[in-house]
This record gives sequence, C-alpha cells and structure tokens, in this order.
Amino acid sequence: MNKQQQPIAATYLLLVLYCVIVSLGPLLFLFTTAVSTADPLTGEVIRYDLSNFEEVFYDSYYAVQIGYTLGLVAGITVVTLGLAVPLTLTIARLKNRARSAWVVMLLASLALSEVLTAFAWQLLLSQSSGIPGWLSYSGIISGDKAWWPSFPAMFVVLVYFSLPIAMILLLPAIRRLDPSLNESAYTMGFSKTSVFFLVVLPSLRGPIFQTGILTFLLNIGGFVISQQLGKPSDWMFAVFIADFMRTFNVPFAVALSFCLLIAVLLCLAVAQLIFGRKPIEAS
Amino acid sequence: MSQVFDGTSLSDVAVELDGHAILRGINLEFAPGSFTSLLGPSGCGKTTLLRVLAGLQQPSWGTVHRGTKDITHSPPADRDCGMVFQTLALFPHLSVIENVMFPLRRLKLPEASMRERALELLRMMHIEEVAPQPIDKISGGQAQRVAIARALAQGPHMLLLDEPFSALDAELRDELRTEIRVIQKQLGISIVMVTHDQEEAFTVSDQVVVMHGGAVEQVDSAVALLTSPATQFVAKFVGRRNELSCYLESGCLYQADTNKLVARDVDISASHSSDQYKVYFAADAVVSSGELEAEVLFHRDIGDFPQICARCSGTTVWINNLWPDAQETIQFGLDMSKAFIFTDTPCE
Repeated sequence: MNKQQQPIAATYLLLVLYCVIVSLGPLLFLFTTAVSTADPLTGEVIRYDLSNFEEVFYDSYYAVQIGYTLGLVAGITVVTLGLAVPLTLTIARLKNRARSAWVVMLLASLALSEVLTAFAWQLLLSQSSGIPGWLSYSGIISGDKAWWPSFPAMFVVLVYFSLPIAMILLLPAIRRLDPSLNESAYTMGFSKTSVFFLVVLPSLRGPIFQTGILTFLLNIGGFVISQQLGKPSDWMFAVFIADFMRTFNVPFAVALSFCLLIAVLLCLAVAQLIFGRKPIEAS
Repeated sequence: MSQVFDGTSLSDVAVELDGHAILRGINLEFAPGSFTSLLGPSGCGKTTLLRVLAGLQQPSWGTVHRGTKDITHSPPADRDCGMVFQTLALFPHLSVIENVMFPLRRLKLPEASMRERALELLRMMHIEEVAPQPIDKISGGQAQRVAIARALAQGPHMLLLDEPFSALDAELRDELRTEIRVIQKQLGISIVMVTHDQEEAFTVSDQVVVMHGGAVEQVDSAVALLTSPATQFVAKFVGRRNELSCYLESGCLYQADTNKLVARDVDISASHSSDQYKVYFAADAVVSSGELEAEVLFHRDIGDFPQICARCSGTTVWINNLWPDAQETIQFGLDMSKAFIFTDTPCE
C-alpha cells in the first residue's frame, strides 16, 4: 500500500468501525433481545426463539397498524412536500433580508421539541383558550368543543412539525436552480404553471426525493404528537412500541420495531424503484 | 409613401431597477434577416436589452414594436423569439433530443414528427450522434450546439444569443460563430447577439450596437465603427485604442502634462472647441519621428506586428515596435490621419 492509498484505507476502516458501533452492533443486540424470552419472575433469559415474531403475526392486527402508520406517514410526506416546494420556491425568490428572516424563523421553529409543539397545538385547538373558543366567541362557528384529540388535528400538527425541516432541506437546492431554466421555457411559450410542472419539479426531482425520504423517516418513529393530538384509534405504530417498553415487555417491543423497520425498508426500496431512477432517453 | 419597417424596433426604451437606470433612451431597429451584435463592457445593459426583446424584462418607459404591432407588454410566449442563455439553461432532467423536442411539446405535434424535427436540427448542428445522451454527459461545445438547436426548434423569427460562446475555447468559438452565421443566412432569421468580444461582433455582424452606461453610443457596421467613431467612448473602446490628454493652442495640439507637441495645424470645429481634448490612436498610428516620449515597459514579439508596451505621461500605451532595440525611452509622433480627437468629457 503506497502513501496515497493509506488515508483512503483509513477512511474506509473508520467507516466500517462507525457502521459496526453505531448501526450493526446495536441492531444485532436488539435482534438478540427480540428473539429472547425472559423468565417473568427472575428476568433471566430462558430461551432464544422466534416466538415474539410469531406473536406479532398471530393475527393481522399489528400488520394493519403497520400499514396504517406507513400510509399515514406517506400522506404526511406528500402533503408536507406539496406545501414545502411552492413555499420554498417563494422564499428562495425573496430578497436577501426577507429570505434571511424566513430562514431564521424556520430554524427557530426547528428548535422546538416535538413535546413543546404538541402542547402548543393542544392549547391552540383547545376549547377554552384556542381557535375553536375564539371562533365560537365571535360567532363564526357554533359549539365550543375542542378540536383535539382528532385525526385532522394530529395530521395537521405532524405536517406543521415536518414542514420547516423539509423547507430547510429544499432551500439550498432551490436556490441553486438556474432561474434561466424557467425563463428559457417562458420564451418557448410555456405558462408559469406548465413551467412549474415540466421544468421546476423534474429539475428538483433528486432533492425532493431526498427530502421526502427524510420526512418519511422522521415521522415514522414519532409518537408524541400522535399520542397527544390523536385518538387511540389514530395512534401511530411507535405508540404501541413505546407502550410495550413501558410495560417491560421489551423483547416484544423490539420485535415490533424490527417488523416496522423491515416494512420501512421495503417502502424505501419501492420508492427508490419508482422515483429514484434517472430518466434517460434511449432512442 | 414611406415603407413600413417590418422588423423589430425599440423606441425610447428605458429600464429602471431599484432606482438605478439600467437602460436609457434606447432607439434601435433590427431588420428581418439581419445579424446584430450588442457590444459593450460588462454592466452596460446589453443583457437587459436582450431580455426586453425576449419579453423577460418589461421596459419602464418606451415601446417595442414588431412591424406595426406593439409588443411592449406581450409575454415571452407571444414574442416568437428563440433565446440562448449565457448559462445555456438546458434542462438537466432531459436528454439531448428531449431538450430539443421540448419547445415543440407546446405545439402538441405527434411524437414522431417532433423527434424528426429535433433530429433534423441536431443534424444541422452536427451533433446527431449525441441525441440519446443525458445532457450532463456531453461536452461544452456540444451543449452550446444543443442550446442553439433548441432555440431554433420552434422556427422563431428572431434568435437572441446572450454571450453564447464566452465559455468556449478560441478555436471552438471561431467555428461556432461561423456556423451560426451560415445557419442565419440559410434560415433567413434575424439574430441579436450580446457579446463583449469585439472580434466576435465584427466578424459575424451586419450591424454592431456599441453600448455604454445603459445607452447606445453608436450603431454602425464594423468598418464604420473602426474608421469613424462617433463618440469618445467608441473611439477608446473599439479597437482598444491608446489615449492621450491634450490641449489646443494656436492650432497645435500639445500633450497636457508634458507640453510636448502632438500635432500641428489641427482643425477642430467650433462646436467641438474646448480647453481639453483626448486623442485616441491605435498602435499603427505611431511614427518614429515626433516629440512625444514614452518609457518602455516591455516588448511583445508575437504575431505579425511586434509591439511595445510603454508608459507615456502616466498612461499605458501599446504601440507598434519601430524600435526593436529600445530598452528605456523612445520618442515618437502620431499619424493624425489615423487618430481621433474628442473633447474631453468624463468617460467611465
């Protein structure tokens, strides 16, 4: 190995060590936990088998819950991207000072924790001091019921929580987008709407896909907002995992999280197949 | 009966952005089938003028007409102009042929005829073989050709080129500008090209518009610009002439700082009378007899005309090397038939 190759080899070694320590090691440890069964009295592991996984698939309940969670998170991702792309395009076109103000505001909202966000929205949607109360007081709506817990409340807050992250991720890519791409399409006679769908969106395909993946992954493990603003029937899969953790059935909770992980990996593979490939004309 | 001009014309066009005048009182005509270059230093408003023609920039004042039709407020879609941007603006998500087919999609033509038209244009630009390639896999010269092919796809009546060859090497630039001129003659369309390269402007254009500070200094043929500059700026900018500050006394012109005689029997009309004058002269206007003095900085012995870079009264001048062995100072004079005298007005 020559002197030039040494730093490259060291980099790869560091990468392997990082993967083992941060990903593979804990994953292996968790898998060992998932296939273990402990004595309820002593807490000692009495056997290793797949009984926890068998229990997950004993009936379709958990599969349905996983499907619901994946669908919900996919929906949140789509709505978030649907809002983030035009909003970020608008912010990117602003003058420096206004754009900086927006970036500071987005970063500030990122600093809020999920718990704080959930509580703030609980207040906003509450009957006594929130939006429903004000609207009822001003006679715009009748009744004085709080708007949470409900599916729409949970969905809106999850989108609200994801939106600044998505916008911050998209902003550099949108800022780099050559404005003459749009202008050249205008000179070809295309309308602003056509240019958005035929030029802007396809040109941003990579960043949008990456932001979508990150938004999806960020939400799949979230449970605070879901539990605080949704009804039990609306809860996401992570709430179940957390519940089993709290009741000390850790091996079963880990088995559930493994099933969720596999489902997420399958979803990502499908997304990569559909959206990830680069279109190349092959005439 | 006067004939109606059927090309594109600008009348008293001005553009102001954030309180700054970018264009001022532009009056220009672009005849059908003509090749016009907008020439000037960076920031003189060439690209803004091109954008006004394309409809991408609304003028603050003035009008734009095509024939008798007022198109001042028409959107780019109604201008029937193809444009090649400085960045080329090729769509990164499309292949070469898809880029060229893109403008045709609006016309809702059958896929086969769009493809045939695109291939025809790529063939005309000699890049048919890269048709299926992704846009980021082709060379700079090929990308330039794709951009031109795409701009021609709709069959525009006017092609606008914004410094199209600035990123290319000299050989390729020369080849492409010859090709674009040939294509322009073939198709009979008018072309307006922004450039700061004088050689480029002079070799391909029917008329050259020299711009400075957002205004048009002179519109003329290349020969006329070189032989009869209308303003002090054109005299200095076109041909990259040397400049001397002078004053007039008893019909003789003297160098301002040194009081050395520059020329005798100078005839300056009353309308140009002033205390201070600027004399602009090219390297070949220098003669070996005269009173002017310059300090030799270095010799440049490349090409057919070896030159000397010298400092004459604080000003750097390039002059033909009539003194091959001179190392320190030289004395020279000017052939006033090749020099231009202008009243000294501030010229940024």
